[in-house]
Amino acid sequence: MAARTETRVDTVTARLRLLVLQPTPFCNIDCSYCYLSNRRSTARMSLETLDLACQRVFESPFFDRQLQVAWHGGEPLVVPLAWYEDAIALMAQRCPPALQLTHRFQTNGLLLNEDWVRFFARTRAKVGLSIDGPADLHDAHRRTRRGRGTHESVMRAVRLLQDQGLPFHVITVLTECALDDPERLFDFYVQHGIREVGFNIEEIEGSNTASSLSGRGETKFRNFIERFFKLVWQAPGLLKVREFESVLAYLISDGPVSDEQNLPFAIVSISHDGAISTFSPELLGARHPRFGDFAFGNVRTHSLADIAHAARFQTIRGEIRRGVDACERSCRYFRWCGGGAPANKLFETGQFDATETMHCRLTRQAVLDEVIAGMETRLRSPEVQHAASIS
Amino acid sequence: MFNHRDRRPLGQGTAIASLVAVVACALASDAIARQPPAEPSAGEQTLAARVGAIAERIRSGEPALVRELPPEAKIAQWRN
Repeated sequence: MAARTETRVDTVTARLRLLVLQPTPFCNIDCSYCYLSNRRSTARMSLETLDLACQRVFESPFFDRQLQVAWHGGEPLVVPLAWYEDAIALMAQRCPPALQLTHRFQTNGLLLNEDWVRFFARTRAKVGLSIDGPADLHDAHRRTRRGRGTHESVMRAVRLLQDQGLPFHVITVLTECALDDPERLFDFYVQHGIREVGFNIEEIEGSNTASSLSGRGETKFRNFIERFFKLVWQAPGLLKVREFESVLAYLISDGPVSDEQNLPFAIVSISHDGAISTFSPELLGARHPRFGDFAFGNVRTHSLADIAHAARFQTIRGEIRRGVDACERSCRYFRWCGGGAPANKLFETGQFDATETMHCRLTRQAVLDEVIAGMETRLRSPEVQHAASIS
Repeated sequence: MFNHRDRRPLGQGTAIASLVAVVACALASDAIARQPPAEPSAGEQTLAARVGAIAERIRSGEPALVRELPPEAKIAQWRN
């Protein structure tokens, strides 16, 4: 039976934690699993639109003392560096004194050069590179539009960041072929001095309507997580894995977990043309037969408070909340999950008020199960006694 | 050449701050080694009981860990 918690979705208590800004939908590569349907569009956000976005966000009642700003495309680095110089200066000018902004860039690394690295260092931006592992795994999916692999280019970006001493993390998208040899993937990170990694999965989302992880891929995923956790545990301090860090933190902490994707205005996404969305960032630019798009307004015409009262927003918010409530009633993992990701519920089942998805079976249930089982094994095992000696 | 028995990266031997690493090392310490072992019949327990047993074991050995957890630990993060 699921533990009852006080998790509730409420715009009054929502706090804006993440602002996702889309400087352009364009991407200079064409990954096989990409969910963005408009990634060939070269449209760009104007500074005027950004200025309006800042006004809408900073005048809203939702922001707190800290705000993460994720520059998320498309590929953010296809927009010239000079634009970001102006954009970040503008945001600093508009930002209330009590609010601390942290900028984040997730890039495929192809356009990274020393000028970008100096910019990231100067603005203290957090940088993530998208790398799927060794060349054969990476180039199987992350290719240019002419079909050429991009591994060599992204590894050049790794060396550049390391040479300049700028910390970075890696996001790896796991497809079925990546699950066979976790030891090889672990060694790849360690050998190349990659210290932090987050695992995304090949999701059924947007224009990517199938995943290699469906069906038998789910069992392989569980085995992968089990073996990868063992590798990380046996060599403490060599590699930080986002999924293991967060699950262990949930296990130790007292309170129930909420998922910011289910909380209106905890995440606000603004597209290149000023369209405003919230809940899962993947909803921005997506379309659905029942809802149309998920632009609840535009910075030119709507405040965030206006959106909160709009009928379509209320409909979607209500359906998302019913989905979270259904998860709470039916799922034994709810206490450590918070109700799943609305975008994945919609794209896998056609509705927000669904419960279990492939996405939650893999990224929530399987990871939690394997970390718990791994901890139990190691709490009983003599190997615990030796773990510290190899750190 | 990478040495598979020593997984340290070439030229970069420093350990990174990681909750998993902290717990792994804490569990190896004398303080936690003296704690009673986790129940072996995990399959028969509820998930909550299993988590509770693990959390209690870690908390009793390293209470500072709970105090030092950032608030982000209690909310799932968007994964990009």
